[in-house]
Amino acid sequence: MIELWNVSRALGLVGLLLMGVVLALGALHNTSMSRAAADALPRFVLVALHRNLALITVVFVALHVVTVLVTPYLPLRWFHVVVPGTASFNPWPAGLGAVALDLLLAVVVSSSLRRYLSKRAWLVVHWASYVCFPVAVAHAVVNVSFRGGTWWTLVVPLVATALVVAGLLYRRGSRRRAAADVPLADRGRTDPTEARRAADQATGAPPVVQVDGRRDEDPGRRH
Amino acid sequence: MSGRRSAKAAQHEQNKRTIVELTAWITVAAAMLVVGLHAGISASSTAADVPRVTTAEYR
Repeated sequence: MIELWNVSRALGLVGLLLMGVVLALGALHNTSMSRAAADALPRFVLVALHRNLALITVVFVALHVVTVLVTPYLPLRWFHVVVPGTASFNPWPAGLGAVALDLLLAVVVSSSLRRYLSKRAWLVVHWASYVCFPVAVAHAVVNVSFRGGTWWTLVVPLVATALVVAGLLYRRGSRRRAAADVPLADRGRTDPTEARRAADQATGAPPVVQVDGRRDEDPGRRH
Repeated sequence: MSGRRSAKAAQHEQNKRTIVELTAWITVAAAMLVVGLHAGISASSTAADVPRVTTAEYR
């Protein structure tokens, strides 16, 4: 049964590493790196890879939770891994794990129901990944027994954190370079009508004219 | 025109296969990593690594 506890730890560590890869892929989305990769592969391949790896991460995390629950060395019930602060044994590490699991579930459920949510609501929940990951890293680090011989497993959260930090730093640098190429007046245009008007002005194209001869000031209002 | 369309469809199918193959390879790599980490943890763990187990019980 001690082997089951070791398997659970290995599953959790691989789940954390996969989460780091998924988060780094998500951070690199829409950066110059994803555009460079899109020359070799279409962007939907990268997006699909991000989604598939996220689902595999969920499977590994689910196996980690199940093995933790069935191993006899931990007096944990099912609600201890979902409700933070309810575990009497090892309360801090278990609580951090419960918080990370809840946030991961929120991200997965919101992505499954994406078509029913507004983009803003989905994005806000999706950004919870950036909270979920450090909490999961803290869960892993706190759980490592520094008295034991498995201190070397700390290298996994370290590698996962390095991946995410590298992805975020690249995203930050890429965003800055991209912003420098866009004229100041055109930055932050999210309204399609405004964007089209700005593009017309920039290219010198005549504005779209409707059949009745009026200028199409706001095509969005016709519908 | 039809040739271009069929080439594009073939490329799309190839891309979809790439997604499946990449996902499968990464899953296999992750499973192998679990096996490797489990072996490493088992080899280096002591009684202090197992919750609620005394050294005598561990032996």
